[in-house]
Amino acid sequence: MKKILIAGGDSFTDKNFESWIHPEIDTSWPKWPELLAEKLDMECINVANSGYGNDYIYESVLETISNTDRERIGLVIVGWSQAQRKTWQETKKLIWKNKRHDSDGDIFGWTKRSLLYYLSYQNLCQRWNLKYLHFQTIPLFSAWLEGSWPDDDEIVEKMKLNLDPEKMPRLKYPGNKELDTEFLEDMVMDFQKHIDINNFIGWPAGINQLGGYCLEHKTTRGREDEGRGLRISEYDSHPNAKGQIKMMEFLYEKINS
Amino acid sequence: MKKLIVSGDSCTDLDFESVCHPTWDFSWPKWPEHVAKHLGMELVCLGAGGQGNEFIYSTLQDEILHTPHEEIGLVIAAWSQSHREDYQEGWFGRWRANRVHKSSDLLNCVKKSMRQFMSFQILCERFNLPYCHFMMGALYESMFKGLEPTELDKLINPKLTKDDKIDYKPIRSRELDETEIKRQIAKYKYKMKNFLTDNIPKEKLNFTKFTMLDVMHEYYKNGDIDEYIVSPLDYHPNEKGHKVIADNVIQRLSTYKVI
Repeated sequence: MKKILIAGGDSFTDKNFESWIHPEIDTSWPKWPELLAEKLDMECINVANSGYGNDYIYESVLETISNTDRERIGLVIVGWSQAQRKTWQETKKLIWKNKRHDSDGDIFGWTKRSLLYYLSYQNLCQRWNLKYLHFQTIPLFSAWLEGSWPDDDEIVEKMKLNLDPEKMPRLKYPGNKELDTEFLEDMVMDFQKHIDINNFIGWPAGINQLGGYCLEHKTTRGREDEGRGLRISEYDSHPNAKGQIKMMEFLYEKINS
Repeated sequence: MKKLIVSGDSCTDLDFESVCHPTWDFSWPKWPEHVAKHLGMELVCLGAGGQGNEFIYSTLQDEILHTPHEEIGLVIAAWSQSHREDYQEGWFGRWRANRVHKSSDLLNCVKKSMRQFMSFQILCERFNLPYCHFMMGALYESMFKGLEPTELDKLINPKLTKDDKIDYKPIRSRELDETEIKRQIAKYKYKMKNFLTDNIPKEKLNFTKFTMLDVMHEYYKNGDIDEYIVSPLDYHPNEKGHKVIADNVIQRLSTYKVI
């Protein structure tokens, strides 16, 4: 019987990903978890979901591991998302819902919450001696400090009006960006002593300035000229079929290094 | 001296103050202090009024991370109501809470709490730390029955009584919702260890149903409730109430062979 690969994450990892910006595009190409499982000759359980935050990512992986024969788990791999996202469950069917940013708290609390989820995930895998990896798919907090981009549906509206979404104003970050970035970087570095950095690809938490990296930046957005052709479009930066293969190859190389 | 690390809500808050009685002195020993004294351990108490289970799990996780594990003698989580929503703000990470989760519903708040209970166990087992946990107050019943006015509500409007409740809004129907909540809780029953209140057999699978506050309230059934609570306006345990809770925790630590 094949071993199982369990993958968690956001839209970059979601096997049912659909582009809000280009709903006409068939996005049913294989995603990196399925490609990686095939390469490793494993069965894939992919619990990732578009738009969801790190709370969902941790809780969905916890649930999956708890309900899976642990002898059969060959690898657990998680791609973390942005700190500001919030996910919760509603209704009897336990449907998950999400908000692009949490209406309570601030970037400091959200980042701390994410870091605690990273540690909870590490504990979970170590407790049951599971082979595991994790990485930051997209930046943890920098997008928030840079000023958030408009929602995908706002981009769609602008495109309908033939306006360039790249020129849409970002939501302005209300604090002191430089000072707060420094504080958040210190917060991440304070967690370094607790993180097994051999299992965190691109530590510290995908932060460029500290020597880390996000998977997105190493693969589909590495260099402008290289990244083009690996993403869905200039407005939708999610990986296309080629981009997903590139992500898988990058991770496969890391697993074997 | 080893450390006893405890977190919880207002019933575990060493600096508890009553909004109804702002001039009263509440500096009596709280249950964690009694337990620490009994065990001969140094107390690290993280409990804070109004907070929920995310706060409890996160503060314990944080404290365990920053304490050499050989110094930790015991970790206790005194869980709270599932529907509270915790978050942090500011450079210093000040914790705040909403009394009722603004987005989720009761069924799913219960499920989230179950995952927090599991995560707490996994954390302690990962580092071989002695641990136990229990419900201090009711996990979902208070909201399900209709949320009573807070102490502050009663202070602002003295005419409010226990019957002035915020009604529970069913997802389907009260009966179906409660059945589903119990089913979700039951799924975790066999995964829980050292859950000090889970052996009360009235409802076998609902291991969260009985709480340390119930244990305390057992005492007043043959006497006067006022002996164990702050006042008729404020139902938090008073000095005697805290002693009763501490005695029960100590007795159950032994029954469950926690340490």
